[in-house]
Amino acid sequence: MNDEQTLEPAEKRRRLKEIQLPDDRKIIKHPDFEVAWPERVTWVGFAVVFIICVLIILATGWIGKLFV
Amino acid sequence: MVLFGFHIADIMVVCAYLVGITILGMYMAKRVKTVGDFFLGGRKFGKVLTTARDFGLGTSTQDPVVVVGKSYQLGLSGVWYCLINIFTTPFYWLTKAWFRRLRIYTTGDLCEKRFGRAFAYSYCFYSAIMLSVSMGLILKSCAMVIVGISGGVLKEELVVFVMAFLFILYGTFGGQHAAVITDFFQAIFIIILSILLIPFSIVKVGGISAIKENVPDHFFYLASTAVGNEVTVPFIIAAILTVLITAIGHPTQGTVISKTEWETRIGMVTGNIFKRLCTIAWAFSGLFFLAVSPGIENSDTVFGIAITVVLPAGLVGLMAASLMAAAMSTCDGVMVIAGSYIAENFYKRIKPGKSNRHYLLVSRSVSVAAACLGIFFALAFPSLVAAVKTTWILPTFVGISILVALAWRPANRWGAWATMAVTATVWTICKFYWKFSFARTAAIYIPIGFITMIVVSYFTPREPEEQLDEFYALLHTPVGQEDRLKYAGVEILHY
Repeated sequence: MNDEQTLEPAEKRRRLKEIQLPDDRKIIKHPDFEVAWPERVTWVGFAVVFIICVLIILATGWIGKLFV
Repeated sequence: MVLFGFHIADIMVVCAYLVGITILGMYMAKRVKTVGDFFLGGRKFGKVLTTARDFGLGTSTQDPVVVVGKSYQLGLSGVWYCLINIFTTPFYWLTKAWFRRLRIYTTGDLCEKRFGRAFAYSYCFYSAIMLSVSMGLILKSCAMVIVGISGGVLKEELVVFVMAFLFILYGTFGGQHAAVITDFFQAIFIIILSILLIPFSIVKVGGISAIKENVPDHFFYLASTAVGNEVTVPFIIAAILTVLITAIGHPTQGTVISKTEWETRIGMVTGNIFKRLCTIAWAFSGLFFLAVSPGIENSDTVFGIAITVVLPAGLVGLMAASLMAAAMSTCDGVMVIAGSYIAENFYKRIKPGKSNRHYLLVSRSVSVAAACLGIFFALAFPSLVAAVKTTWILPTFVGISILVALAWRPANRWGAWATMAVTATVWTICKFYWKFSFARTAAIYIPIGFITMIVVSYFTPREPEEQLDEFYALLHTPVGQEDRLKYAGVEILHY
């Protein structure tokens, strides 16, 4: 699986810098931080899953109350 | 006709399950050509099989035993003994995609890429031993329930050996392929296990109205009785934080088998949601059985007794097969992952350049050895295993280091070692010396862990910049855009 190119060290460093996270996508625009703004699929998915989990808890409580 | 404490119809159901699942697993052996096929199934799995795998890997026999027993004893609030993890389910949407992007075999690869080989070796050996022992314990706890159903006629060791022999057989030949495809069918059995007691309990007691009469009203509230006092807001926050760092540092989390990030996320989250729904069914099973047969003192025995009291012949066998499915579906996946920690993360590093066939043979041998070792320890030295169990939280401390390292470049191996040592010490003192509650312990050791990682890393030498550039290039390059990584000469362990 290791079919990456063999590059001169200087060229490899240059290309690695080229594909790094651009500053406009960083939450903290500092070279030491690597946290990107979440993509749409990430935050929408997180919210949907969170809502489903809350609904599961509410539904469990509601079913329990049916027996009271 | 009764044989080994079971009706002949039950024996036939159990035998059909065991033979069928083994043949299916063995059939998958033809798909294993490389080490990547063995450990990751070639990362060819879609949403359905990933869901089944994550559901099977995350659900074992202890879960229904605990929830049915606690709900019987405490009411619906007993569901929280397992349902508390629901709050962490959304976070899997984030964390699993990170691991998939790193394109690694195990979390050991992540540790090596970020904290160096010595730290990775330590993590790998510890994880392999822990996973081995957990296999033995899962089988043992499943065997205890089945022995209970047989009325003590079957021997615990015999049940363990039969289950272990079969999952080792198909797991050794079929690897992750066999584990995943058998998990799909075992998942169906787990769902049957979860709902089967409910209708039969209702019929046995004489309908819903009889349940209402025989079970006190306060037993049907989600937040009441003794466990309601334990599940407070600080407890929930502590549980979310603990499981979040566990989700990052746990030995099974780094091994991702899906084709893309989307399939990884859907599979993990859906598998988890299925488990939560089954958890709710277990809780109502316990509550309804309380109406059938009140007065059982030991909550651990409620599930086994309920099966024998409520279910007719044939369905008892189906339930026994489902219990075995729950245990075996966890163990087959764990066996393959435990093997990968030694074969892929250690052996391949000290013996590079061997043939694919050689590494495949070593992978299979190590996986078998890991399973055998765990079963041997769980059966032969239960007290030793009980002692080792107290250290199971240790790999999760690595989660703190990994979380910081994913976001902050100066995080380094010195910080990771220091965090491991400091959090382990603080956790031990809080838990065993001061005897603090779970929430209070987490409120102390988790912030101290993060502070240690940041402070030690800040004042010690950084990891080589090129190594960091490669790591973050992997993390920020979505699956499917590997051409960018190849262009920059980044090593990809497995697509």
